Amino acid sequence: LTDPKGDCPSSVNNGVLSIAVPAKNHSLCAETGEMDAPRFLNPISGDFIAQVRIAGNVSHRGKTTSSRFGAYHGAGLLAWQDARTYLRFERAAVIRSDGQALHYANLELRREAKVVSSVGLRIPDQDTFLRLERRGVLTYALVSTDGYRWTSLEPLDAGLTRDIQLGVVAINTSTEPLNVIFTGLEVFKSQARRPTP
Amino acid sequence: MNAPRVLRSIDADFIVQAKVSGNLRHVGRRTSGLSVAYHGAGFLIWQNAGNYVPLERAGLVREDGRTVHFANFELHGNGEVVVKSMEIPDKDTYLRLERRGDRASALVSPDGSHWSCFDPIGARLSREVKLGVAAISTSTEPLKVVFSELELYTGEPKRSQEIEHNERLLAAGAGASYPRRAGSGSRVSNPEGGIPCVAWCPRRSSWRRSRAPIEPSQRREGSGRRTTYGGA
Repeated sequence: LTDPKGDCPSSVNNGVLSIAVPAKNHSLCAETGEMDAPRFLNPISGDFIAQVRIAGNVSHRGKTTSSRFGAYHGAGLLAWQDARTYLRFERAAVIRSDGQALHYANLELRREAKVVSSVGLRIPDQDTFLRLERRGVLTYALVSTDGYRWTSLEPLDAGLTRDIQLGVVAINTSTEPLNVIFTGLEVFKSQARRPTP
Repeated sequence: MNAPRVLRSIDADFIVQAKVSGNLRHVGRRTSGLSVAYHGAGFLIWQNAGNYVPLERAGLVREDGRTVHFANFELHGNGEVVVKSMEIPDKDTYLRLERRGDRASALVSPDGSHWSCFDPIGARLSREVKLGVAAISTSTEPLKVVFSELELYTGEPKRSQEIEHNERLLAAGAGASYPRRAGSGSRVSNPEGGIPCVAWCPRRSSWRRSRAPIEPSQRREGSGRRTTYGGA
């Protein structure tokens, strides 16, 4: 586990990864240099399909701990080329201006420390399966409540290199702690020899 | 059991996907005494002649002459058959078949990006099976099918207890469940066990069942509301 601030206890038990992110700024935003979110990554090469189930309190009513962003809870998959270029796909919750929580799947691509794509899809506040697929030039993000029926976001050309790191991340910029549980992580690797960028 | 197929061995969980093109829709008469006129092409998980899982883009001609075009997902296991079908447009179709643990799931898409999903089927197949494509015709009209854009992804074999553990967690979650589509499929005993699948009537009867409107939850193509938000 990469835990830049060293204040995010985690445990792995029977395939279940738990991470507790305290009520301090733990973001992963290269454009502002805030890169303190705990993440767990492994190398991967070529095309893949990865899926994980997100449980926990990705739901909050806290105030923001960031000077730049609103109060946010997010947890999900992370495709990491380097600290300036990476793709986040998270089950997320923010507090709107009217004080209500907004729950959504959040797909953000950063390239050379700039946000080049940010797309959301409203989802219910419940345990959520996220799936990220790198298939050739395009990357696909899908969300599901049961791990079998999927709703797709529009595919994007992430432009990541062939060799990256893939894993999970937990982000908190809320005054409420985030306790997230990742289960059922599955990674399928391509058997084709098709080149990727 | 004389449909042409191309199979390879595999001993892991997998996700396989391909585009199926060709004249699946047809107006031919049947060439089998036991089945309607049928064209089908798609994936096949094959353990043996009594245990296999096909997922096909299919077209058939009903007895009243009406032609129908659908995706057909079946489990043949130990003398029983589970049949699920879903009406789809008559055009090039992407099929995706997944084996994850003891479940097989199937998805259908017009573009390879947005999927309509079948309910998963419990498929207690052996660890090592054969996987490939098959083309089936019981019509007087020849079937010419093209498989393209084949993609295969493999994972680690998942233990049954791990699947069950995850499902217990899922069942305990707030509001999470495996919703079941009423009338979405049928478990049918095969009265003549061993009758070739291409010459068996449940496919036709399953189609009749599937004429009930498809629930909105099954219509995933572009149905999601998409908005843009900022993240942290």
